[in-house]
Amino acid sequence: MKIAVLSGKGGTGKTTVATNLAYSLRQNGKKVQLLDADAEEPNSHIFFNVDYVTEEPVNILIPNIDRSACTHCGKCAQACEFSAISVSQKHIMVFEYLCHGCGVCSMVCPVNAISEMPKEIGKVRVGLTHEGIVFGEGVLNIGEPSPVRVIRQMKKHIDQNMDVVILDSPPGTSCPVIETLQGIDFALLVTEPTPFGLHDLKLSISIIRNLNVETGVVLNRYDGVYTKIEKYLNKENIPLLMTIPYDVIIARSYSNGQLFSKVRKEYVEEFIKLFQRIEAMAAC
Amino acid sequence: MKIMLATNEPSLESQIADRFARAPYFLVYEDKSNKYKVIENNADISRGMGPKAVQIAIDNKVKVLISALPGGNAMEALKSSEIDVYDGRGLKVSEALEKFKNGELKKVS
Repeated sequence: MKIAVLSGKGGTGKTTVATNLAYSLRQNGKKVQLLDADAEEPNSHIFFNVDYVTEEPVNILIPNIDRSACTHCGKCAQACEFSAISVSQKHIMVFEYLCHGCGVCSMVCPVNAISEMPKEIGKVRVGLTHEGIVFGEGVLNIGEPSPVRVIRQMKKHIDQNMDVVILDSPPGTSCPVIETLQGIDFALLVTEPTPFGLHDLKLSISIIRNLNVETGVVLNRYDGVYTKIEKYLNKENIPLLMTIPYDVIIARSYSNGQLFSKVRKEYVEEFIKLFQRIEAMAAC
Repeated sequence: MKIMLATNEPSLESQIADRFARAPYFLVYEDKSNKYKVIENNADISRGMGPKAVQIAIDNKVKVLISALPGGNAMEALKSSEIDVYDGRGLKVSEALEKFKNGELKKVS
C-alpha cells in the first residue's frame, strides 16, 4: 500500500500527517517506509532520529559544447523547449539552471558538437529511524530549479516488502507533485478550514481525478467554524477521513520537532483507524 | 542598424514595457529606412524567457536593445551576443529612439 500525503496549499500539515501516520503504524507493528519527497525543503527527518545508511548523488545530463566543432547553426537553441541554449553568430551559451536534461540538443546537432556530461542536482539519503521506520529523503541542491529527477530517483528506493509506504509530497499541483503521485495507490489530501485551504483543495482534487487515484481528506486545525470544506466534500462525494483539532498542544509539539501522537497518545489509535479506512477504500 | 524595443503596444507611440523578456511586443526598428517590424511575444513559459527573448534579437540580427533592465540570464546572453542594451524605462518608443540617436540614453552594462 503506497500512500502519498499531499496538499494544494503549503503549511496545512502534510508532514504532520505523514510523520504521525508512519509513527502510529509502526507502533502498531507494521513494516513502514517513510519517504520525504518534498525535496526542496525536506523536513520529515526533524521528527525522527535517523541513522543514515547511504547517500547517493542525483545527476542529470547537461550539454557539453565542443566550441571548435560548433557551426552556430542554432538548431539546438530552436529545439530546446526550455531556452537553455542561446546561439549567436560568434557564441554559444548553455544556461545550466534552465536545462532539464532531456538531451534533444545533442540529438539535433548536425556536426556532433554537443555531448552530454553529468551534473549533480541533489541527493537521495536512506536510513532507519530509532522506531524502525525505513526512511528516505530527496534533497535538491540550492539554486536548482526542478526537484523532479530527485523525486524519481528517490522513488526507486520504494521497498515492495513493506506493509505501507508513505510519501510526504511537495505542496502544490505542479510537476514535482505529479511525479510523486505516479504509481501511488492512495492520495491522502491534507487541508485546513480556510478559504485558501478550500481553493487549493479544489486544485488538488482536479489533478487527482485526472490521474485516477483514490483519495480522501484529512482536515487539520479543525475548529468547526469554517464549514465550507465539509460542504464541498459532501457535494463532491469525497470522504473526510479524519479531523485534527486546532490545539495548542499539537502546535507546540510540532514547533518543538516532536510527533504529537507521542504527547497525545490517543492519536496513535486515530491514525491506525485512518489507515484502516484508506485500506478499505483502496480495496474497492 | 537594427534596434529592438520591448513595448506594451505594437506602435511607435507605445510605452517601453516595464519588463524586457515578458514584454507583450518587440519592435525591430531599422534606422536607415525608418521602418519597423512587430513581433508578438506570446511565449508564456515559466522559466527561460530571458534567453528566449535574446534569441529573438539574435535571429533578427539586432545590434541594440532598448528596454527595461533585463534579468541575469538575458543580460549574460546579450553580452555574449554583443548586443548593446539601453535603459528605456518610462519612455515612449519615439522618444527613446530620438534620445538614442542624440546619445542621451544610458547604456546598461
